[in-house]
Amino acid sequence: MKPQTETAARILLWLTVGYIVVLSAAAAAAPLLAPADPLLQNLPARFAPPGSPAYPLGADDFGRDVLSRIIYGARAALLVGLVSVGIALAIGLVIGLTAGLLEGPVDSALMLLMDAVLSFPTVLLAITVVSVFGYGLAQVMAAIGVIFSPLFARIIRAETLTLKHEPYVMSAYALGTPLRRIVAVHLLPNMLPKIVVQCTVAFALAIVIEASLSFLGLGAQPPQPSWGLMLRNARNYLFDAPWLAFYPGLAIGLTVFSFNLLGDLLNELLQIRR
Amino acid sequence: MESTPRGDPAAVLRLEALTVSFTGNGGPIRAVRGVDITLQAASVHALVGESGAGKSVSAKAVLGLLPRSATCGGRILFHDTDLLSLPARSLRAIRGKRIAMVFQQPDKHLNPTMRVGSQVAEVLRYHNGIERREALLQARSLLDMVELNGREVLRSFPHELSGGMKQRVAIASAIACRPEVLIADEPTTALDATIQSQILALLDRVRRELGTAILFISHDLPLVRGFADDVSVLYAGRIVEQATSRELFSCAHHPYTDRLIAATPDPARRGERLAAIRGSVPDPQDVPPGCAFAPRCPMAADRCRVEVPLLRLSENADVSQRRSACHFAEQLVCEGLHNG
Ligand SMILES: Nc1ncnc2c1ncn2[C@@H]1O[C@H](COP(=O)(O)OP(=O)(O)OP(=O)(O)O)[C@@H](O)[C@H]1O
Ligand code: SF4
Ligand SMILES: [Mg+2]
Repeated sequence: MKPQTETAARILLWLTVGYIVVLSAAAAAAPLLAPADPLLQNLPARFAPPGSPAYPLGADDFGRDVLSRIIYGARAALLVGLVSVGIALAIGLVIGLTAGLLEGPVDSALMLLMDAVLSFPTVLLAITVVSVFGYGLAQVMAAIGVIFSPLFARIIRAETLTLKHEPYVMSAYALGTPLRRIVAVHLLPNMLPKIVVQCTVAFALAIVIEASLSFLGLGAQPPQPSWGLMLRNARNYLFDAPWLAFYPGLAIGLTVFSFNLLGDLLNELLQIRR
Repeated sequence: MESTPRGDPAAVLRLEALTVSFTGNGGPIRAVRGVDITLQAASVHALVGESGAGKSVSAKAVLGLLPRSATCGGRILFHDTDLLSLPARSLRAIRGKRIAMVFQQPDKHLNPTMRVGSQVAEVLRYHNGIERREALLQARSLLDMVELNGREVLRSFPHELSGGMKQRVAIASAIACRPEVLIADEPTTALDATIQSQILALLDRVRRELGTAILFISHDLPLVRGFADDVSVLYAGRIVEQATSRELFSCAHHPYTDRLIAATPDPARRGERLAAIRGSVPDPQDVPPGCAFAPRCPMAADRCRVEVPLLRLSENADVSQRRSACHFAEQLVCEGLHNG
């Protein structure tokens, strides 16, 4: 990258990080920030347009405050991202390290399994899993976690295969370092950049999938505040109350875009370092 | 309780008829073909030969660092224990604690994401069960011992150090547990000439102060003059000459040794010397019958191409324990060969 491009990338990176920090803070402090209870119904205020007193972003078909529901919805979205990426990372670490360290038939078998999981269209597979194990956010998170684990397993395996032949790993081995220490201090820290980049990308994807499943009625269940569910609800009032679709749509778009961008920028910046 | 091998109380490490071959596509790759080396306590034994001679493979065999494609034969006795038949767990307890190793490229042998102090402390933590703070304190004095500023270097990352400093750090980790044996595989090859001699001086101090026996691997025979006590010259997986340093440098008893002594420094490639010998080392998958050196040897006769010369004590009465593997060792007239 040219210096100017790098500066631009840095500014963009900070904007993205800023948005993510604000979003996370809002999600964490939802009870303090949200003007109203996201579940509180107020039928006289149904379809109050944005800018109405007490309803800055309008009210929905039950007279619930859209802003409060967006803020609480951020909680659901980030929670899904965090938990499902956490599950995917945990499974990916175990499988990727085992395959990369052992090689041979164990490696082939594990990678075949991972490829099998990857070969299904993600959303279809998630729908199948959720249909079998029941609807709800917990099931969605578990399903996304399992479905994404090959993304991590593959990267971690590839990195393990490369890093384990690094001279410093050989050196540590020659000095009698136990395997678990080699993994903890030599392998993991050196593959961290790649893992972090993968995490941000998977995080964005997880949010999209949660929104899609909730939109289909398979994820978050009413009256839970979830962006996908809000969209589902809004589809009946697209012409009468377009803000009901606009704000959750905007929230999903911005959030997914930010995490994707963060992944790309981190990737480029970390490559410059190398 | 430890005991030393019978008959040689001062020997800490003995390679006996060591062979190593790798499974290769066109038949086995016979990298080491019967090597005997005795490393005396608190001494330096230099293992010298051109690239591909089998120096690193021999060294790695000692610590069990060879890939699974390697098969070892013979014995590697550490005191009375045969390391080749030791279970992996016991071998790991010896690695780094009683036998340690330093490698050629200091740049690549330190973890780039880890502070130097923690890397040195690592060894102490798992071998001696010392907790982190105490290990870091000891790491600092180890860094001081290898003539670095322990206080500063402790907190630096490898990329902040020069090549010579990194090699000192690697030596600090290697001697952390005061090993009885240190295997140094071309530790100075990647370094400038001045740094090279500093590192040699440091290793010599380690030998004197800690009583560590050093197996010093190099392709540069003149370099080990004055540093090594004993020298083994390796060619195509076999030792062609073995003698005390003084004897060897006074007069070679093998044509190959003679050419190595005459090799001159290469100004273009730091740390390397011009190959004074025409031709190249044989392919380990296709070693010529008879003397492996015959295709390049100025003295080669018909006998050399059919009969393998054994490593044997010289028949000259005045020479003590030196061995050479040349049919015509007795006919070598040192001066004549040097100048010719
Ligand atoms: N893992 C391996 N698989 C197959 N052959 C190998 C392997 N490692 C080493 N060899 C072969 O064994 C021979 C000896 O290699 P070795 O690394 O011991 O040479 P060396 O004497 O250390 O040379 P250098 O000065 O280049 O380090 C070489 O011909 C090499 O090709
Ligand atoms: S045995 Fe023959 S070929 Fe081999 S080194 Fe001696 S003289 Fe040369
Ligand atoms: Mg080598």
